Amino acid sequence: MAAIQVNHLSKSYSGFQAVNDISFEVEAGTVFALLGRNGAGKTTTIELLTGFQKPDTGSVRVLGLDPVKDRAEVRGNVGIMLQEAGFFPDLTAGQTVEIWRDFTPAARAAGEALELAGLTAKAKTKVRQLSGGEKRRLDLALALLGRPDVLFLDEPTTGMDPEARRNIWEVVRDLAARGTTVLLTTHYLEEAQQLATNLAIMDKGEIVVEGGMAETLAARVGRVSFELPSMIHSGELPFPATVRGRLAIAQAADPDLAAQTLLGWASERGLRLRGLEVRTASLEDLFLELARNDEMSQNNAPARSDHGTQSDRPARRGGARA
Amino acid sequence: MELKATALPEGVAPVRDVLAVARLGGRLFWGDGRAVGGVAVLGVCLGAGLPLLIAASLRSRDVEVVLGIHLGMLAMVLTIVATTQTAVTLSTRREMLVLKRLRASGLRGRAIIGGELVNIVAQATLLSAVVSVILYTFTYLPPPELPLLFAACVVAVAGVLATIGAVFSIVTRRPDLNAPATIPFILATTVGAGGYGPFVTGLLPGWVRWTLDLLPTGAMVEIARLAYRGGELTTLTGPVLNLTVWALLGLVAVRFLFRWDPRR
Amino acid sequence: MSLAATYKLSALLFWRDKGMLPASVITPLGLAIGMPALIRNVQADGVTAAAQMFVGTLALILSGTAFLNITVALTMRRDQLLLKRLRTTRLTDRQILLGEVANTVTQTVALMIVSAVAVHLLAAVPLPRNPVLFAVFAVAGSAVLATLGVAWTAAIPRGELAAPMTLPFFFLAGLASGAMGSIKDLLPSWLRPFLAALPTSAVVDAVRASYGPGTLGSDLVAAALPTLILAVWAGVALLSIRRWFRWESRRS
Repeated sequence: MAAIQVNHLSKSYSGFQAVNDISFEVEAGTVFALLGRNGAGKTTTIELLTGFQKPDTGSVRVLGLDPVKDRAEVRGNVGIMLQEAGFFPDLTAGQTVEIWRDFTPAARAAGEALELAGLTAKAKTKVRQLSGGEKRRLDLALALLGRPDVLFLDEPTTGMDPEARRNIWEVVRDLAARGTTVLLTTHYLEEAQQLATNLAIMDKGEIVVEGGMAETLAARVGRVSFELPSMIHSGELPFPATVRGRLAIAQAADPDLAAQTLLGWASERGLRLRGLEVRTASLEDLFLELARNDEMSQNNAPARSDHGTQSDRPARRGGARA
Repeated sequence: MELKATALPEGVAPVRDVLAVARLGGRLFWGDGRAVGGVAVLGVCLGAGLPLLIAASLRSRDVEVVLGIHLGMLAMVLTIVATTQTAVTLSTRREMLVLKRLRASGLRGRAIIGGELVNIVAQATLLSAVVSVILYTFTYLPPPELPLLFAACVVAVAGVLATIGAVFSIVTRRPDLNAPATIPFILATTVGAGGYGPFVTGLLPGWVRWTLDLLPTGAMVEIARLAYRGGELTTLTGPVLNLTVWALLGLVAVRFLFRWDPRR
Repeated sequence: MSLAATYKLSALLFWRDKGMLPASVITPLGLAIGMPALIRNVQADGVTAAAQMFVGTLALILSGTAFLNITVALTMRRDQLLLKRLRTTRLTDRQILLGEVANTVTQTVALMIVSAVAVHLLAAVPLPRNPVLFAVFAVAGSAVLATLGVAWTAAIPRGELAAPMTLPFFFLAGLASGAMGSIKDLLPSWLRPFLAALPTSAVVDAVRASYGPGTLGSDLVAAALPTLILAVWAGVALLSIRRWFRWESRRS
């Protein structure tokens, strides 16, 4: 059963369309990453999913309930880590967790929550003395307090050092392994790739790419690059490639296969290929593609109809690379 | 307010910087229609409303009573707009790290505080002008004989009250505490200036009245009365000295005790 | 359970705030105790005037400790996104606000009782003849004023404006209930019914009856109009909260 269902959801603020007709589902027990640049609509989506805002049109179901109408019931099973929310600066981290336990039925022990978030050493420190990353961790401790079935994390590791970030990833993975559904937004691509099983990429309020992490990346072009042997002309290669200086770069849907073909071709001719590199697609490539397509569609605004069929899914083709 | 060595000789006020900060504060205030509405409407209601009502209900014309209430209410409005607002604004900006950011931009401490004060004084003066003009128009209260003296008095008192507000922001450093902390001061200035009517002032024992007269608003009442009635300016040495002492005390406290960082 | 939790939080935040105590406890107490004590000593008919004045200053406690306090605290917490954070928990909106109101009512009622005892000891003002009437209106009045304070936050754009936009009511309440002395008598007579219709004036009127001579029957009669006034204000406050209350600062 889907833990989160989003159907044709839209929301605008004073004329600005923050979220435009998006739909997706998150299966129970999976980690779903919502990606996008600043202003893409991620935070508004989270606010709609957590019932802080009412949708203009469309519907949201979390664990089968409406987060606005059935707020108290939904909240009992949901943990929320907002991107921005205040703390009482004069309470210590430990006191804050203690007070939150009063609001949370069947809460974890304060020590356990602090431990999970890696804050045990700071239990007696006042919130105003915590660093940005430590406040994020306190945020996480509060979100985890009620052993939620669904966890919303809005940019959970912003401001953390790499080690703290890895620890948080460990915690999230562990929770997911025990059946917690996690929806997270992030603009650290590595974070999404490390944690999520499914993803959606938002741009200007719309979902432009959606699917399983593995399939989505597999569908992207990878690339093969190598030093062009001195007497070889690029036209002689077994597939089209662009040459930059001495470096030949080829796009390929299956870069492993392309590399095999290339090696076969080279050994037939007794050539040695130096600096051979095979790269499968990464989220970063996907993002760069999106950004570039966006730029192109802006530059070519008058001639847009030429690209019309492609630009409604700007991520589909990576033809312009290299 | 620690002073950094800069190219400017000691003592020269960086006027351009002061005005830049004042403009920032002004833009934040005037750009927010709701804020202007809230403060202006309530300020005018208080400052003009009560004297208007009293002038309307007195059976016989009594300029003395109306003038007394007018000055008392003016003292209250000025204290709220200058002291309370300055205290709250400075500590809010400190808490939100705006003061720190301004300092990081290279502005000198005195330019930042000076700018905030200039902006607050401008608001307070404008409000006083509106209140006074309403009273001259709709009651038989005559405009002052010496309008310039009255204007100068309002500006000076607003400045002193705003400086005291800066001191309040040192004493109570959290923005949510500043407003309640200034309430006793507001009550004292209002009572001292006769805002509760002659009855309450008359009840107070002599030493209390004497103490209240030492407040800057006590000096304001004396100067303003002279401005309304006309008279010999040399009688004003006392009140002018009073304002000078308050201003100096305030500036010294700000100079040595003001903090730029939020409490940790 | 959850209401108790928000109550506890509000109380913790209020009392651990040493800086807040002079403002929200000592000022209103000082006025409510100091003014009557002063009057007792300077006027010939001291005790009567002091009693008269004391009942009037209860309006200052109500508007200072209940109304002003909750307005300032809630707008600040709204700006700091603390209310938003509280809403990420299981608490309902009603529980969050009710916790604040209940806590404010406790503080206000406590101050009213303390000052009644203090003026009894210091200014020889007698204790209320009908303590039940006193207590009922102390609680109901604080609750209505606190609820009005919650509603008023909707009109305040930013936290730093909470005080300047709330203080005038403090003054108005004191003026209307006679805590400022006889200045009220200088006002035109058509204004009196409006001043008497203020929630603080309603409480002061009922409490005055609890001090004055009378019987249970006359007390009930005296309480009828103030009850009606408080009920109307409570309705106004609740409707405005429903319609206009904001949990986050404006985005525009």
